[in-house]
Parts: sequence; structure tokens; C-alpha cells
Amino acid sequence: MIRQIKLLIRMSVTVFTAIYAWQRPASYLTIKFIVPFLQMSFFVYLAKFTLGPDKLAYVAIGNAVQLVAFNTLMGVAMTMAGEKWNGTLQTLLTTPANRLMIFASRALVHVLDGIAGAVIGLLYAGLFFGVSFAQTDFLALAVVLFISSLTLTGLGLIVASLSLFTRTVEPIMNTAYLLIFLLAGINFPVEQLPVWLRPLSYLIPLTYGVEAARQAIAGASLALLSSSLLIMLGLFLAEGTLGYYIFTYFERLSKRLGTLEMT
Amino acid sequence: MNVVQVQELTRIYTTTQGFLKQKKRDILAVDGVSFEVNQGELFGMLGPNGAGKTTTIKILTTLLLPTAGRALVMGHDISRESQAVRRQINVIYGGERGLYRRLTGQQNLLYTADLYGVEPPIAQKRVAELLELVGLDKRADERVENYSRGMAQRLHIARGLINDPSVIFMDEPTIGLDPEAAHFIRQRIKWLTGQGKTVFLTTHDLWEADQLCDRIAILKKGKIIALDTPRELRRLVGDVQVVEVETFGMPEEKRAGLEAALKTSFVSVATYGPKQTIAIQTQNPNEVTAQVQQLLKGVKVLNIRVREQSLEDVYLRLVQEDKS
Amino acid sequence: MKHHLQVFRAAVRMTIWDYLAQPMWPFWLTITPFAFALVAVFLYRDAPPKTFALYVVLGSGAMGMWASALGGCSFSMMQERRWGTIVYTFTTPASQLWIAAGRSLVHAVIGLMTLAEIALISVLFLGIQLTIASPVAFLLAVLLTILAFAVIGLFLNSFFMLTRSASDWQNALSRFLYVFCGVMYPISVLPDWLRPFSYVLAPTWSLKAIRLSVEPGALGNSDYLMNIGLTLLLTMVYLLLAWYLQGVTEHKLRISAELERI
Ligand SMILES: Nc1ncnc2c1ncn2[C@@H]1O[C@H](COP(=O)(O)OP(=O)(O)OP(=O)(O)O)[C@@H](O)[C@H]1O
Ligand SMILES: [Mg+2]
Repeated sequence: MIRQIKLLIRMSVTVFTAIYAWQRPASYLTIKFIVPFLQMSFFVYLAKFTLGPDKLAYVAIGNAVQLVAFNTLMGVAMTMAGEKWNGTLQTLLTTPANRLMIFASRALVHVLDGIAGAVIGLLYAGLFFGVSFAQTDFLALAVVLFISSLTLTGLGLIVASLSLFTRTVEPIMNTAYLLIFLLAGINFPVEQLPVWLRPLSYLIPLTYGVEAARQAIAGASLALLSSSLLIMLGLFLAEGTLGYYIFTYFERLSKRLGTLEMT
Repeated sequence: MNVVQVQELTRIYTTTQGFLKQKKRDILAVDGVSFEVNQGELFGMLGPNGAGKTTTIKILTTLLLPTAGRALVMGHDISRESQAVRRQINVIYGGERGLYRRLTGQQNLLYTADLYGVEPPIAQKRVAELLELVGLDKRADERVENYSRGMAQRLHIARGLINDPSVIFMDEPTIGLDPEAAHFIRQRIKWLTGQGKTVFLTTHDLWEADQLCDRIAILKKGKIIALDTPRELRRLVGDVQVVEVETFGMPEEKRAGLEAALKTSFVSVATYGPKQTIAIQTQNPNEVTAQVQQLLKGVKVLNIRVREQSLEDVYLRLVQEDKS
Repeated sequence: MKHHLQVFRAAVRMTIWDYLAQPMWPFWLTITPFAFALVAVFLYRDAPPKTFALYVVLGSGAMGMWASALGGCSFSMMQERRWGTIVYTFTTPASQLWIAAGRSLVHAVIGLMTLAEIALISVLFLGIQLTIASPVAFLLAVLLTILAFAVIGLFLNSFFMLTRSASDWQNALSRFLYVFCGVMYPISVLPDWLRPFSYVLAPTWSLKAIRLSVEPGALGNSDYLMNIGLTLLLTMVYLLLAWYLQGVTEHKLRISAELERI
């Protein structure tokens, strides 16, 4: 057990450092600090113009919390892309190390990364976009962010697995991220979507997460949010399992076809 | 006329490593090289890996600037008159990189022709001719990603001739090709000099160099250690012949003993599995043959013969001689 | 000059070939601005149709053009590096700047796809009417907008030649223009301290000119003409800067030998 945990940590660190942080410090800082600021600004000013100043907090918090998706989902999927790019995916898949371990190591890093992203976003929201944290239940907010980030890895796994089958992972990953961005109630409530699209929204854990974060910032306690959190965990289990099966399916398929990169 | 004139050319690469503690490292790739290439000449450059051959080509073709020294190509300074140089030269690096893989062979050539400012009607005609010259006319409309390595390298030859250059630089143009494909490319290179072109060629294939080149420069650690015609190069190391001995399972100490006993001759040993081929360059082959037979008592000798020295023998001798 | 135009034309043709060889490319290049524009569709749901047309539809076009110019140019350069073709084109007599110009222009025009998509959605599903009172003024402003985005792409070419991780900067650069050019809202909603960024971006002015051109008699409107003039002026400045930076970059690359690194 201890050995496995150690392995998990070591793999996580390797994944993290190998992928970006130390290789390209400037790029890393841009992606983590500047892009979120610009994207938030864009939607906040858009809302300011169209909906008026009283809607700013809604959009600002939504855009801050969705950074969880930006980081977690993109992170998990991009790791795959990076591995693939370097040709290490082949070797990684053929090592006997437990498959779940591979995912866990990726997930762990990106869950933390996702939370960090949301915290940065919320800082911007408070500093530049007038969101008040006076009433906030910080414990509840922390738990909500953690669960939001964690539960997105399930979807991340599905995306990553699907991307095993395409030449590059970016298209699928971007599409998935943008769908979440549109459907999860980030900039406008899910109720404004056409009826036929709404079921999709309710399959995205972040839909509940964003709303819960808004409530926690407004002062809602953990007890009040527990049902949302439970739904998210339920979705996570279902989507994680599905992702895992897609992954093993493609893996078997590729072994049979003798190639992993289907181009 | 001197098509290429190089004086004291030097190039240092500076690399930085690490992010927090940046370490700078200088690599002296070309070290004060001087030479000239004449009109219509096929000039070869040989040398071990990392000797600076590719760097020399990159400088002469205006991809890199020299750190010191001067070079003129077609009378134009490569640093200050790059444009004038570029119009009259072309370059072919070995390997299949350097082609637009999603475009067809023909599209690649047409695009390059435009970059060189070849008039469109002339370009049309020339593309067709060149495709035929390199035997790709049948597959010109296929995307390069479907080409084999040999085909890609042949397309490179066509690409390198698209602007009807006066000087063509080729960096290991036959690298990684099967014998037939390599033969094809060598034929085309030979043909070029027949057209009055000047060719600057690097290669690791000594037989190829011997066959093709009018003059050969041997580069070692950025310095020219010999420059002459293949024939004169052979003479450079004296009027020697090679005693070639094939042995089976020769122990290491025998080899050392051999090298010690034959101090005056140049000994090189190549190992192929359990077999060894010992080549001894000497002026008295008969004496050495007797000596070797004596020294190798107890070792299984498969074959022993005396032959003329090849360029390879000369090359090995020159490159290995001062192991400084 | 003749040679430059030939190179420009060749780069245009070559970029089109490249698009034809990968038909999904325009779609992936513009998927983010498309999604962002859809968000705007929802946020503008209660706005009057004219405001909707001027900001959401036109803005989507601008975002699409920019995403495509930026993504396309950086991707083209990355591809040149990966395939090793840059080493060859660098030593042709062709000017890298003219190659980049041809490329940028095609990429920017391809980005108009987003405008078409959003316009279609607006007309079909939302019943938005698009009427342009001064077509000539409109067309002129649109052409200048394309030019302005293409020239910024050109300006960034030397940067893409220098960096090996151009794609990492793409998201930041694209959003920078979304925020500051006033693509989806007037720049007056930006706080004062951020507005100077808007003033130095040529598309800020050309987009304003487009919005003015839907009013009758725009060609005689001094406000319209001033915006056109400012766009032209800034575009010229970018061109000069691009030309200067390209020279510096090429010299630097011949010393650093970084061009061949992947
Ligand atoms: N871009 C670069 N940055 C740093 N060092 C370099 C670079 N290119 C070459 N070098 C170094 O310069 C030296 C000469 O390299 P060059 O490629 O010119 O040799 P070469 O004679 O062509 O070798 P080969 O036969 O292997 O092709 C080598 O030590 C090499 O490591
Ligand atoms: Mg070389």
C-alpha cells in the first residue's frame, strides 16, 4: 500500500514536471495566470454590457469555477497527447503497472491543478470584478471546488480515451471543453438553454459545482449543498467507469490491430 | 573562377542548458577553415561525425552566420550579400525532411519555384523535366506523405535544381538509401557536373567520394587535415600497400601484440562477430606478411592477401593518426 | 517587387492547398470563437436586433478571423519546423515576410466562416434581419478589418519563428484581442486603465467603422472616416514594425541556429 502510494506520487510528479511546468516556465505562467484573466474579462465585460452591472458576480464566479474544467479536463487529456507525442504512450500502456494507477497519477496532479486554477480565478473575481466574499462559507467552497475538480476527471478520462483513437487530441478535447463551457451554466443559467439540450447539462458534474460554488460564496453551508455534491460524486463514478471501459476497449482493439495511433 | 572561396571560417555554437541556473557552453564546430572550389568541380568533404561538415554547408548556404572568417559564393559575401548568394545556389540535406508532406510532389516543386522567383511558364516546364529526371513523373500527383524514403530524396534532388543553381550543396544525399537508390542519385550528381554545375558534397561513403569527387577535403574537429584529389590523397600517406588478414576468434592480447610489433605500419582492426579483419598499411608487404604469420601463430587465419590501398584506408589513417 | 508578389501569390496558393488537404482544419481553428459567440447569443437574447447584429454577428466574424489568423499562422510555422521545410525556405531568396503575408491573409479570410455560421443561426433561428445602409462603406471597413488581422498575424510571424512553443501563447493572444478590440461590446465598458490597449489595436477602429457603416451616408461621416484613417495608420505602423522585427529575427536565427530545433 505504502509502496503504491509512493509510486503514485512519483508518477504524478514526473507527469507534472515532464509536461510543462519546468520545461516552459513562461508558457506555464501564461496559461495559468494570463489566459484565465483575459477569458474572465471578456465574459464579464460582455455581461456588463448586455445584462448590466448586477449580473457581473454570476458571470465572474462561473468563469472562475470553470477553470477547474479548463485545467482538469485539458490536463488529463493533454497528458495523453503529450505522451503520445513523445511516443511514450506505447511503452506506458504495455507496462504491467496497474491501469488505474496510470489514471490516478494523472488525475491527482490535475485535480490539484484544477483547484489552483479556480482559486486564482476567484481571486481575480474578488480583486477586479467586484465579487464579495464577505458571506462566504470557505469550508463549503473548498469542498465544492475539490469535488468539482475531482468529478471532472471522469469526463476527462472519457475524452482522453476517445483521443487515443485520433491523430491529435486537441480537437476532441477542445470540443468537450467548449461543450461544458456552453452547457454547464457558466455564463447563463441552464434554464435558458433549449429544452432538448438541458439533459446534457445535467450529466456534467460541473453544472452542479458552479451553482454550489455560487451558493457557498453567498453563504450556503456544506449541509445545504450536500445533495449537489452527492449527485456529482454519483456522476463521477458512472463516467469514470465508462471512461475506463472505453479505454480498455480501445486498448484491446489497438493491440489486435497492432497499432495504437489510428490516423 | 573560384565559385566558393573560404577564408579562416570559424563557427562557434553557444548553447544554454537548464532554466534556473543557465549554463552556457561553446562548441567550436568549424575552426579556421580555408579552401576554394572551382567552377564545374565536384568537391567532396569527408570527416567523422561532428567534424563540422554540415555546419560548413549551413554557413555557405546562408542559413547560419560564421562567428569569424569570410566566405564568398559566386563572388558574393555570404554574410552581407545573402540574397545574391541565395539566388544562385541550392542545397539538399540528406533524409526525407524538408518537404511539405501534405502536398503532392508537383505542388512542392511549384511552390519552391515561386520562392526562387522562377518565371511561371519556365517553372511549369522545368518541373515536368525535373520530375522526369528523378523518375517521379508518374507519381507527381501523389502526396509526399505516401512517398518512400528514396522517392522523397529523389524529389529533393529535383527541388534542389528548381532554380537552375550554379552551385549545389549536398549534405549526405545518399544517406539511408538502398544501393539502387543511392546509385541513382550518384548518377544524377555526376550528370550535374557534366552540365557545368559546381557541386559541394559531403558523405560518409568513401567509395562514393572516391568515385565522384574531383577533390576531397578531410575535416576533423573543425579543421581541414587534408585536401587533394583522391589520387593524390592516396599518395599522401606514401607509396603503401595493404596487407589484409582475416582471422577467426583472435584474442585481445594478440591484437595489442600485433600493434606493438608493427609500430611503423598503420594497423586497423574491424570486427565482424567472431571474425576480424586486420588491415596493415605498409611499404614492405612481403616482410609484413611474414611477420604477421609469425605473430599470429595459434590464431585461426582464414585469409591473407595484399591489395592496393583504398580511400578508406587513407581516410582512416588520416583521421586516426594523431589521436590528440 | 515582382518577385515579392510572386512569393505572396505562391504562399496564398500553398495555404489553400494545405486547407484542401485537411478540410476539417478551418472548423477546428474557429471552434473556440464559435462557442464564445454562442455564449454571446444567449447573453444578447434581450438586446434589440440591431445591437445583436452589430455585436454578436459582426463580433463573431472578427473573433473567427483573429482565431484563424493566429492559430493558422502559428500552426503553419510549427509545421514548417516539424517538417524541416523552414530550413529550406529560409535560404531561398524569398522574403519570409511575404510568405507570411500570403498565409496570414488566407487564414484571416477563412475565419469569416464563423461569421457565416453565426449569421445563419441568427437569421434562421432568431429571425434577426441584417440590413446594411452603405454597402460600399461596409465592404471597405470589412476589407480593412481582414487586413488589420492579417497584418497582426504578419507582425507575430517573427515571434513564431523564434519560439518553439507558439501554440502555448495562442490562447493568451487570441483572448487578448477578444477583450480589447471591442469585438462583442463597445470598448467603453472597459475600465479606463485597460482602454489604452484597445487604442493601439487596429481592429478596434476598423470594427467601429463597420458598425458606423450600417448607418446611411457613412462614407460622408467624419467619424467613419476617422476610424478608417486610424485603422490604416496603425496597420502601417504594424507593417513597419513587422518588417523591422523580421530582419532582426532572421539575423538572430543565423547566429543562434535555433531554427532547426523542433
Ligand atoms: N544547432 C547546434 N547547436 C549546438 N551545437 C551544434 C549545432 N549543430 C551542430 N552542433 C555541433 O557542432 C559540431 C559539428 O556538427 P556538424 O553537424 O557540422 O558535424 P558533421 O560533420 O556534419 O557531422 P555528421 O557527420 O554527424 O553529420 C558538433 O559537435 C555538433 O554537436
Ligand atoms: Mg552532418
